[in-house]
Amino acid sequence: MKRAEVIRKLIDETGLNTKTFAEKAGLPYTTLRSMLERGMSKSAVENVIKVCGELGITIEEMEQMASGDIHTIAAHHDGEDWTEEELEEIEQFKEFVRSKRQK
Amino acid sequence: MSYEKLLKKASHHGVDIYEKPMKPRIKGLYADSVIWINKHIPTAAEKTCTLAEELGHHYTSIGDILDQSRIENRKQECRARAWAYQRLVGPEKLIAAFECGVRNRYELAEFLNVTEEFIGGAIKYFKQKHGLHYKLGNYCITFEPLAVLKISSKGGEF
Repeated sequence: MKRAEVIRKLIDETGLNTKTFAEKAGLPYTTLRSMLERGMSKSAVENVIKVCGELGITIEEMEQMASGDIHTIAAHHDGEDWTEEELEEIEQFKEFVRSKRQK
Repeated sequence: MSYEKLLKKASHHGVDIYEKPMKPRIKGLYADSVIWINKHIPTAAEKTCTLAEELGHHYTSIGDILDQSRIENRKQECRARAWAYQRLVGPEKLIAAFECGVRNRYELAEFLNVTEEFIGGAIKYFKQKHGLHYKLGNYCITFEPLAVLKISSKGGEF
């Protein structure tokens, strides 16, 4: 998912329309609209910070949601080394967590 | 705290827990608010301990810490375990257990519904944290040997 899509989805979830959200975040509606259309990487950093701040997320969290990758992973396990089979098991687990997130 | 109670608490905090058949050496896995517990774990006590440690990861860990040969990852593992020890065998629990007549490690494991290894780990951790004894209210817990002493309210003597 692209960053702009993540942001759009999160704005939707606040229940506000884009215009009201822009007002709350303290930036002009047209700016927010062009951010969503052109993508976050082409937007001014202070505007990205404002939007993320209003959504209550950090920039890293936005990145994480956009990349769709697993952030924190840990295992409780006897011994230090991993066997092939165990690594496979962990891959399955990761796949499961990713598929769950997309829903 | 029983297994069911922990499960309830976890789902309250938005953590999803599944029991899956896994390779015997893997006890539990945690990633981004999802926990897998090995279905083949034989006792409820061991399951409770594993779940508590994975929950510890939920509250204290960040990043990929699968590689336990790296010291910074080990540190996070320790922190997750410390969380579990505080939850399952914290000082208040020890006092409650001794008040109920628990006198040794075996009985304590039974009473708190955890494994003896887990108690061993917890005692080691508390010793590192507090030294040989720890005072709480009218009680003094000594970790070596493990005992709880009641301090009389009058003289402050044991």
